[in-house]
Amino acid sequence: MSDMKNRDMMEEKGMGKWSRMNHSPTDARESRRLFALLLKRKRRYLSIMSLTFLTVYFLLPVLIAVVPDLMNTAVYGRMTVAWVWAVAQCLLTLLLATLYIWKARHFDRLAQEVAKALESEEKP
Amino acid sequence: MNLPSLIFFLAVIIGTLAITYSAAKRTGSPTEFYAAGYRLNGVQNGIAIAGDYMSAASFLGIAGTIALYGYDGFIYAIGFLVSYLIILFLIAEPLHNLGRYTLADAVAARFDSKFLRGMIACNTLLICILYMLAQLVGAGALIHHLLHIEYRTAVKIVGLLMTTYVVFGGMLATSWVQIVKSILLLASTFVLSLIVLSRFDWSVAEMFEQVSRATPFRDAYLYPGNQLSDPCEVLSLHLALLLGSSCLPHILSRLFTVRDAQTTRRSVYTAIWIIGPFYLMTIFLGFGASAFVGFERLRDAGFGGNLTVTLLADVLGGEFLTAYISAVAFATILAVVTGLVLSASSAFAHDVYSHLIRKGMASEREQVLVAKCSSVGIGLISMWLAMDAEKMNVAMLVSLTFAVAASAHLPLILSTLYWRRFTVQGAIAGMASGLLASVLLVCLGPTVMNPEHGLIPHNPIFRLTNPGLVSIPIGFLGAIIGTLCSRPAPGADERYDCVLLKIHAGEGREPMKEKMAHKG
Repeated sequence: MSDMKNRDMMEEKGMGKWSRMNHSPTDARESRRLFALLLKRKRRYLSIMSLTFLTVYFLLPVLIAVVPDLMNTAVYGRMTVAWVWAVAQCLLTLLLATLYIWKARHFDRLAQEVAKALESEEKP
Repeated sequence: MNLPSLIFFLAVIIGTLAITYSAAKRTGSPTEFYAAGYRLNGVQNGIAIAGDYMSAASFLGIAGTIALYGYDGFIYAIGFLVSYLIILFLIAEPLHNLGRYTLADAVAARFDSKFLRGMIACNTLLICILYMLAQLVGAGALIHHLLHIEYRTAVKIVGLLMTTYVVFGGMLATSWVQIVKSILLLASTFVLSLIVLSRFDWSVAEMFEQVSRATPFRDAYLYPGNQLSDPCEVLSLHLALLLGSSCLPHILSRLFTVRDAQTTRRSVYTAIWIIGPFYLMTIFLGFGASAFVGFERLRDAGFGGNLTVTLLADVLGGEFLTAYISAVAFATILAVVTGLVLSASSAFAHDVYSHLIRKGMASEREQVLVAKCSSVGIGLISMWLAMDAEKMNVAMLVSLTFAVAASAHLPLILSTLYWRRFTVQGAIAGMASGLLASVLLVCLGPTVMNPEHGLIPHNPIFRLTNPGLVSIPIGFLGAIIGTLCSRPAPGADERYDCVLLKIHAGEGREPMKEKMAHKG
């Protein structure tokens, strides 16, 4: 009973797409499958990217605290490892952002397919 | 005041007022007032976002800290820059797809709680006013020094101008003021960096060589630890910069000003490419100042090194360049406080008035009218607070702002977007614990409790200047405990499915935006 009421509430708010999908089992599977695929890929990609930059970011202060001598070794003129790391971090930020912009096009395409599948499921 | 500075300052004021005048015809509806009618494209919005980051704190502050302390100043630059990746990867597109004008809108897609909306709005207001106070106090002192106007008059001028831009021009004027300022700022930073580099025979190695001899720190100038030596303090600063700057309300409200998620992504990407090179150039400005202006002069100038860039301009280019840089610094301050007034007024007018008091029944005209009135109110209140706060510790305000943003807003945003089990009780508990923890820890910390010149003359009970290392985990913990101790509302699972669909596939966005997109 309360479940029915809920569903009505969701429909009212225009959020009933998933529940409506249950009525047409053949197509419903397609949009659900595509969306699950999109979520899985996005999650994996973004976790790898986030872990990368977080590691590089927090490793710098940790290394400075743990092995200060190594980080203060001059590598280019008077420029020390810490400075090179910090500048490299800036360049890495630009690189990761650019990589994501490329990758996001794939996600967009997949999202469009999900939207298309949903639309065709709503028509009949 | 000399003639060049007067001319440049008047040019900034007249130029920005002209922008406001031309935007004034387009502030009729809430969408136009809060979101510039979704008229901005990705590059324009990106430049504006970058402008919000290039506040006086980062243009003058980072260069100044680098000049005085070397490596430790650059930590701020990396922190601000890397925080963009958090925005780009985790926050920007989902939030844009979920909300209309404010953070509370986005959270309301998952939870209907009025109390939660009110809480988010109050928190946003608090952060905006604290940050604005910090900027206004800094601005007043700076203008007082540059133009020899009295501190209180300087605050009044800035306060009146920022309120005027918002009331008459809304988001459109705010954005264009920000865009123009960003371009001016980038150009002047670029020119100054080139002059500095030419003085070092175009060699970065030579620059490092010379600055290692220029300061009393000697070789240690290039090593970390001149400003902050405690590793916990350093880590806490890293955490607060990374997580705090990605949830500042005036940055978040920019994510809503474009028509679709792709454009939001494009804006953040543009901003990264502007900010990255800009922060790299702050090294040249800082090192240039420490080599050519001299350590003693920088230190004696006061303002925590905030005058560094103008002093550098004076040494390198004389009166004319100084006047230009000062005017750019003035424009920078104006543009950032304007953005803050706008986000504060949207938190009040849109979340508190339209949704909580009028329960969504207010007409468009009424909404805009209230938004304008609340901008005036917020402008006046912060002006009034800033006038009596000349001696206030700006560092305390800034660390409080970042701590509150990171500890109270970030757990809420991330859990709303990515945690299926998250409940409204968790959201409230997370915000409350993050807010309380950060306020309490700042009050117990060395910026407030100081035996010599603190508000409370007592030895600090809490060791860290920046409470992020402790308060951010407390915020997350509050959200987790609150969630686990409560049961999800009936239908929460289906609702999260819909939210996911909205976030990742852009399904079921408000038809309003689509309509506007066709019109524009």
